[in-house]
Amino acid sequence: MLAGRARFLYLAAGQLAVAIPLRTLQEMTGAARDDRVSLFMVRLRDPSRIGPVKRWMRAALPTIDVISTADAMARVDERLSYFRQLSAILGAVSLIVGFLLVTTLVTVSVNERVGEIVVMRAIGVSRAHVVQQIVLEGTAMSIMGAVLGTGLGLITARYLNAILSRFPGLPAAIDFFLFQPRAAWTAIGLLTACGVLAGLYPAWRAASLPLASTLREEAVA
Amino acid sequence: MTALVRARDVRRDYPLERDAVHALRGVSLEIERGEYLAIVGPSGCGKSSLLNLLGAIDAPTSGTVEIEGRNVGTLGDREVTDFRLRHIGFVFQRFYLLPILTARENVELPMAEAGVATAERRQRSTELLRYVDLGDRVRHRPSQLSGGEQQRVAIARALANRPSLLLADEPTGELDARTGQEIISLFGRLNADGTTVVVVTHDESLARAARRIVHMRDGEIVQDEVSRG
Repeated sequence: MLAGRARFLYLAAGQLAVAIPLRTLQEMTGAARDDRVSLFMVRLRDPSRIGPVKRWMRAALPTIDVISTADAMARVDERLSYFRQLSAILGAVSLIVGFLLVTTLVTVSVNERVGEIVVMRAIGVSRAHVVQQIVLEGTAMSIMGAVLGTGLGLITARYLNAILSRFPGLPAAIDFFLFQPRAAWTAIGLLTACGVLAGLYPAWRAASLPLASTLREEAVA
Repeated sequence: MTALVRARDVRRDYPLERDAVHALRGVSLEIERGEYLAIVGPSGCGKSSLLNLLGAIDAPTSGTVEIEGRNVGTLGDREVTDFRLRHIGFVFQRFYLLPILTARENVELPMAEAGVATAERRQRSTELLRYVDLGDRVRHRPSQLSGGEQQRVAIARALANRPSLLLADEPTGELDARTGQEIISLFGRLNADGTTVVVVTHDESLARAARRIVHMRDGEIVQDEVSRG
């Protein structure tokens, strides 16, 4: 008789399972009743008693490995910590590369427009406004990069998640990448801050160019 | 009557590693309101250096430059920038318009910097672009304009804040003869309408159009004459 359908979180992809009472199983398997159970799941009425219950079970059943859900999660977490560290390192490297890239792009852009910038200063545009304009360009570049990068990251994460989740023996319910809006906003915020910082130096340098000599050089160039 | 510009014994040296280039060697010059003056001379004689000093873009090594009675050499960066914004218009050989802005936006830029209200900016930029015969080009970007048109936008930009002095460094240098003539006519019209104009040029026809010609050589004024053009 089918009592219902359940989805077990620890099942690997494609793995099928049937849930039946232990006694029914033992009756079905006949005489061979020893060592037929590989996993017992125990649910406590009072979760705060998990420590004493674990100790009692270990003492009563020394051949059985007793672990709590929290222990199991900790073990998985430990294994994933390398992955998390790698992600953090890759993220930091990406941030540094992004910072250098924006600095380079802003510097190149500024160098190509030295004449324009110096003329702006000559006609009376303040140094602060020139800096503001260039920093805004760097920031806009970073925001565009951050938005595009986040989109690309989501697509890549979904693709990688699909590949990694197909590893044999892994529960199908495990996700290696989870979209967390807070993390996405943090990344976009960090990149935007990088854009502001990356634009500051070239902007200040451009706005501080000596007007007369730069105009002379531009006229000769 | 107080001169609009008064340069007294102005020297400008550009230091090199061991020596210095003496671009100006004690130049004195007075420019009255409403004058149209051309500074001419061979390359390297100090024309542009003098123009930069007259426009408060540079400060003299010694001597003083007074514009509207203010010694601009004593002003700090912020003050002198604001002074240029409100009192001096510049036109350069290479136009230097901002390529992402339209003709109108380029003209409005100095007004925006000076805090002029949007409606007034719009009205004045339209008037100025009409004045330089570009009333039908207000929405065009510099890349969509010819060299002569770009220079006329640059002139309109220079006039945006109603400067008391308009300075131009080789304004016809990048233009062909016919387009250059249009710019020369425009300068004449501007001066006739009351703008004080000072041009540095190699262009003889532009120099002849001025009412006063200052000849320079080796960092000094060697002749100051009324134009016979």
